[in-house]
Amino acid sequence: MTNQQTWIGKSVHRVDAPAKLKGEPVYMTDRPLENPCFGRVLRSRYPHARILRIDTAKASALPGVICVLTHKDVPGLNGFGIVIPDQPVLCFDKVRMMGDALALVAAETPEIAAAALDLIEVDYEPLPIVDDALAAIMPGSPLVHETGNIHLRTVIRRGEVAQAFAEAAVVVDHVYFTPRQAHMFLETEGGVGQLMPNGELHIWCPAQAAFRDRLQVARLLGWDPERIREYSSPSGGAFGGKDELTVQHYLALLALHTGGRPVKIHLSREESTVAGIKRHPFMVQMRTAAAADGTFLAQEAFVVADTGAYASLGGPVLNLAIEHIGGVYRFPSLNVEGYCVYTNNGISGAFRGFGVPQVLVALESNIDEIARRLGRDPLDLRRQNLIQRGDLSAIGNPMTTGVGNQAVLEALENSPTWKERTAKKAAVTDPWKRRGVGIGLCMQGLGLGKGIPDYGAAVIELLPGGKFKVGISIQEIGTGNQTAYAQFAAEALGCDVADVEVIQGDTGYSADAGTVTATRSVFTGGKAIQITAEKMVALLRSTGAESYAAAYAVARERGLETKVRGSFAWPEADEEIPGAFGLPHHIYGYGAQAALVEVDTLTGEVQVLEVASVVDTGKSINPMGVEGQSEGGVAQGVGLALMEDTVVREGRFLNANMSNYIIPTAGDVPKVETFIVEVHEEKGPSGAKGMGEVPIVPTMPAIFGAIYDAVGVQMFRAPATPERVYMAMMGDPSATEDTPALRARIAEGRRAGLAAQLHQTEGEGYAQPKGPEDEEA
Amino acid sequence: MLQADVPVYTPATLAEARQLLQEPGTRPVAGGTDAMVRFKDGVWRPTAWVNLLRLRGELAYIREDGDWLEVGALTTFSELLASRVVRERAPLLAKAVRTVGGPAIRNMGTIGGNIGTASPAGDSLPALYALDAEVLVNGVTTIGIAELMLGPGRLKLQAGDLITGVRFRAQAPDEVCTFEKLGLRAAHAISLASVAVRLAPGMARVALGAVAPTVIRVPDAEAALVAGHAAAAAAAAQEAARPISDVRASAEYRRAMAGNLLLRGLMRMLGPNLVSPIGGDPR
Repeated sequence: MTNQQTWIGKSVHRVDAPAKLKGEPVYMTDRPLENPCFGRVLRSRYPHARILRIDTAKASALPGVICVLTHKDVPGLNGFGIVIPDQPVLCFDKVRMMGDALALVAAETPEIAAAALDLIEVDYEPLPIVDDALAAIMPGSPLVHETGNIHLRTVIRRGEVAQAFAEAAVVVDHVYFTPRQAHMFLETEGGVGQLMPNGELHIWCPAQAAFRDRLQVARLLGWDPERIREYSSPSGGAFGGKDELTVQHYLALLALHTGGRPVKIHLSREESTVAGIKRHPFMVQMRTAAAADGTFLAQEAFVVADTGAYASLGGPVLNLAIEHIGGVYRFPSLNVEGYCVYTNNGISGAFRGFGVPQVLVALESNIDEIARRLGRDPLDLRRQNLIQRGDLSAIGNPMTTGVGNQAVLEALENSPTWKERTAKKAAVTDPWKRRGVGIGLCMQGLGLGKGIPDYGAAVIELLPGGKFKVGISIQEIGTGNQTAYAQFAAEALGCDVADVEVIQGDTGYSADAGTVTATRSVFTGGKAIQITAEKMVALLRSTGAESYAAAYAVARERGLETKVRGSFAWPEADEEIPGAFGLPHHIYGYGAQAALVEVDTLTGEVQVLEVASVVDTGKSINPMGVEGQSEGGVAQGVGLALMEDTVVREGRFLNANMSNYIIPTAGDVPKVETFIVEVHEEKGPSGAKGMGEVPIVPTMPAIFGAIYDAVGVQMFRAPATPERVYMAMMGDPSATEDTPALRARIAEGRRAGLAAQLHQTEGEGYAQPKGPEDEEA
Repeated sequence: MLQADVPVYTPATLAEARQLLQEPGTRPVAGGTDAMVRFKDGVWRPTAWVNLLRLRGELAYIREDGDWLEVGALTTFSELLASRVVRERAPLLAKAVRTVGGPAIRNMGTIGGNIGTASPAGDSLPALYALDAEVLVNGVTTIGIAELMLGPGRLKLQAGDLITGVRFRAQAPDEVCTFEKLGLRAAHAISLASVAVRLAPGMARVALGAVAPTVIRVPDAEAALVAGHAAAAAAAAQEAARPISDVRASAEYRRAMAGNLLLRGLMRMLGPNLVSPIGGDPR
């Protein structure tokens, strides 16, 4: 790629910015509607209960109510879920979480719809709940699903683990806990459904997987998917939280009963928090071994992920976490055992980072301790153990694509935050405050992984005047991919960015390119657009015209098709990792961060002053967009490390609105300096990889390392609230959760998990136990 | 009953407002920054709202009266912050008000509403306690702020009574003061604990927020400060605190913070060298 490029690699202003800045109703929940009616969802009153009776008579009789629907009104499959359809559209036998849906109402006004919800009579028989993921594995735990509480167990072993630990000079062993982070997108889940005069069902709903949504809706309606059209872009933030169906299923059912009127649902913040997807809380017990010269010898981990009442993407989240359990480092031996379990704690699923931040904080914190115990510089110790291209990763994946860990480490080393850390730490203003600097390195698997169909596709249409329309299903969820797609198209077609209109997320126009998840949108969309653009260039040649404007005229005259399509398949690893569905990935993004924090020793408050954020993007398509994503990732990572947790006690939500669910304000977000590193990826479009998830991943360990550097205490539970930091500084024994009792429970959980898995999974298929070698666990 | 069915009356005079508030179950609403949240959550379900907006001409003011300052109940936090008189003659109140919500909240929220909501975490209240403020009721009578506050959301008022203002002596030029607030983030944070402190030769005022059912003054801490004992003052503040545990923080932590915020305030006002010990270096 030595050619001079006009658009790729240039900082281009976002094509969607002007309308958004002016407050125009670009979002689908803001669209003005003609003669609308309003839908509401009846949620459960208990986190776990049998449903004895649902009576909708009084609600139906309320003036202004158009329809009241229950499970009896679901014509097709009463279940949904990206991997397995274990979540009822409308519950019928029991409820398993507070967010479970029992009935739907459409009414003339939102107030009448709310009043109708109060008139629906439901008799429940409350059931015992399980609200602790480790407890859910144990025998005798209440069962969330009759098939057992273990959704997935994954075990990967490599090398001579026992021998490595026996020969190690340093062994670090700790237990870490990460929170149920909420996505807190500005635009809560919502949308509009309407049965059109031509018999089609149209759904306008911000989402991340238009064609899969359409398929799921078709299944529950018992319809041909072709009769359904979903408009799913843009969205006012998603971060993974709109990857599952959010309200499309409710809109579809209601729209069949409103006489062709558009029906709108828009969740309140509280309902969004209770019913929506969250980041999986993890418990990670991690034991890491190193030789006296600093060489990493072995990594052992026991991981429990709380997926809540339904699977959603809990299995893939667990497996991606396990894939990254060794980070960017060589580990010749590995023993990792992970569980994804059901509880009555709401529901967890996709969230930027997808399990990796949860395990990386454990790994990087363990490495910091190894460095301290060996008297080594933490950055230098990391450098010594970096995976090189051609090495095997910790799980045994040959790293044959662009490996950027060396490059991001070097950029981090040269960043002012790291290089000038001594002076920056000494510049503390108040004597009761202490400053510290910490670092974190990460990689993040891109795309969906081995064995999972992963394709890209696009359409390009030639318009009068030589302009273009590009259609791709991947949505603009705020990441800037619409602008990147316009840049790819303009570069390949030889036109101006302003001459390209990008239509995203419309199943009636855009080609199915899969989801906007897994940091796959630049790679997928870029590649698909480049392949499709070649066909457009061929069309131009075939007309013999000098310009696209002239070509359009010729094509029309000759009756040529002016719309071209192209598609490709994602590259994937040659060998799968046995027993670990979807592993390994083939291409990885890399990141590194250094954080400078100031800790108030009187209160435990942590202020993050600055973060150096290094991202290996492959080729950066829009450097200004990369900076935006980097800053956003750090901000969300600061929230994860220091503030954010959806507190659920006995299945009930204690901080469902934004006065109690704390996210960073402008005053909490540090100065972020972004350093872009471009390790060319031969398989990517113009050498690009993508980077959307990467910048949230190293933030938490960098902050935890900085807290240690400042005040000498290691945090083991995120978020590191002022109270937790203060109690740890005071040496409060309750601040140390890693007690003999916890270790005994972990040991019991391992035994119970193995026994339950051997007993349970026969014929269920999602994941099979590995076999006799498990017995020593 | 639908939320939209709750009638909203907008009286033009104080007399009219008081008459409407005679009706049991009615509630006054000023900026609505507390009222709307509590209404939405079903905590407050009045039979009618008495909207005070049209009384702003009468009740939004900042007046100097010799040594005294008087602030109308409908004065917004933004107006307080913009006032040179408040910044120069009641700097403690200015420091406290600066920590309320964010700009949008401060544009709507009023000092009368902050008093009327009677939350122990109301950020202007510790300052008013430390200023020995008197609250004006119905434009005629006054009551000491500590006497007015009975508990969370509970005031010593009769049906028809309306808070119309608050008055206090201006701070002396030779005194120093600070407001220390601990929240879970830099802005838009509900206080976990707060402390308002005033110091002058022979005079000390210490008021704690969010660590008891009401804001509290701590006479023992004040006496210790007059005697020059910072550590004893902090211990007295911790002793006086009667905090609760909730989703934001534990009682134990809040109690510790009652003392440590006082120490931090003293260090900020006087310089760290004047305060000893400073709460310990964890290393």
